[in-house]
Amino acid sequence: MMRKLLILVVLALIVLAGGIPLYIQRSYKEEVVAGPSVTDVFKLSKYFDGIKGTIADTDVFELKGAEEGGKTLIIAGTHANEPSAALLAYFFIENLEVEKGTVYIIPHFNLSGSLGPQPGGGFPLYYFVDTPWGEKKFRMGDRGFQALDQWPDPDVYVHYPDGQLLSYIDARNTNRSWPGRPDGYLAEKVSFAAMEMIRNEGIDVVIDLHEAEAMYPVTNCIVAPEKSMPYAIGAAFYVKGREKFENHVESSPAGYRGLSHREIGDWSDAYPFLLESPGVHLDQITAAKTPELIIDGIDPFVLKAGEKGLLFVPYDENGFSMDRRVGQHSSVIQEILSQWTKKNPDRGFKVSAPKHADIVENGLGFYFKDPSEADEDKVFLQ
Amino acid sequence: MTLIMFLYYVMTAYVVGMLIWNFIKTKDINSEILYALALLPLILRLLRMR
Repeated sequence: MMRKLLILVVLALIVLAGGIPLYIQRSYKEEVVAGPSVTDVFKLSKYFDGIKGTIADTDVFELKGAEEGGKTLIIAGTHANEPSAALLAYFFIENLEVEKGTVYIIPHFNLSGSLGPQPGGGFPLYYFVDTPWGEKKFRMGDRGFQALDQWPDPDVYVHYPDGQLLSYIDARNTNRSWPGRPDGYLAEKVSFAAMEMIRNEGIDVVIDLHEAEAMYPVTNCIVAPEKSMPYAIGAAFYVKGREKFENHVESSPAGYRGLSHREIGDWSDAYPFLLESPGVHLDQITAAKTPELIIDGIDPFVLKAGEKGLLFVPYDENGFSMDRRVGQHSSVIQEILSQWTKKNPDRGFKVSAPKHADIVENGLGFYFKDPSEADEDKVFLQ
Repeated sequence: MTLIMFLYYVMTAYVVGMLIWNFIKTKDINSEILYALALLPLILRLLRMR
């Protein structure tokens, strides 16, 4: 009897030691200070009440310029283990100036995924950005919806409406769930809500932010379908010429369904783009998945892979830092909107925010506002 | 929570109950440890920690 009791005590300790940090992380809120261009903050369920009150509902920040123009939707946190996306969203919410047009930003499109790291992935629960006023803490998330929120997984995920058979795990993947459906999985419902927003608001440009492994060919790039291609090529060309960083263009495959860069363009009048920056913490071969690895992007094993020609991005001992990844996203987004405006002046944009060189020089944290110093009504918990 | 998700929680609770019952009944230390290990992920799910 004493032995059984001892085993149960050990079991309880393991459950508490492992479970409590996860439970605390799930309720931890990130803070963002609304910048001068933020005109409204509302829930995505405004466009589809089927997600109202569920974990699939998420905040949308509206940045409306004084002059009428086009509308763009920036989606971050589709895969919550690709943190430069959410950080770019926060950076834009706090710093983007919008004079013409409207920019909508969703920091955590897959809010459920942002509430816990990948099971078995060895990732830390949090990562940190240094700022002039201290360390800013963020949740490390997972690629898909948490199984806590969408369970069980099917044996095979059947994409709607094409019927393409995808991996069971992709039933929780908000970049295989487009265009979504109102009565499907939660992941499909949140995509459907975004499609309703895109269609009802008349969104012109949709930009979905991601990170990818350095050993994966679709990284450090803009993925675009046929109709978005001229703008993507223009943006890639200009950032290389003006800002001296590589960001090639990949064609969205027509036969691979459920992805934002394919379905949004097919099911609405919007022009979709998907941006990938190189997040080496995602590579399988790295050393320990530490908060520092997420921020610095420095890893000896990835460096060795680079020496053997196994990487698809230029990589040296300086790594691929968060400053570079967020900087690239900032520059490429602004260049896509600039290219769009040249060809569609009536639906154009006039926006500005620090770009790649500024962010690399000053550090991303330089641009984050101190929530404790901000007006209470400007601070939003995510 | 969908109906099917609720039913999965009910099934998990049932399996947890059976594992605890077997844990109490067995006199073999290896089986006791095995039942305890098998309980771990199921308890985390029931408590909605993981």
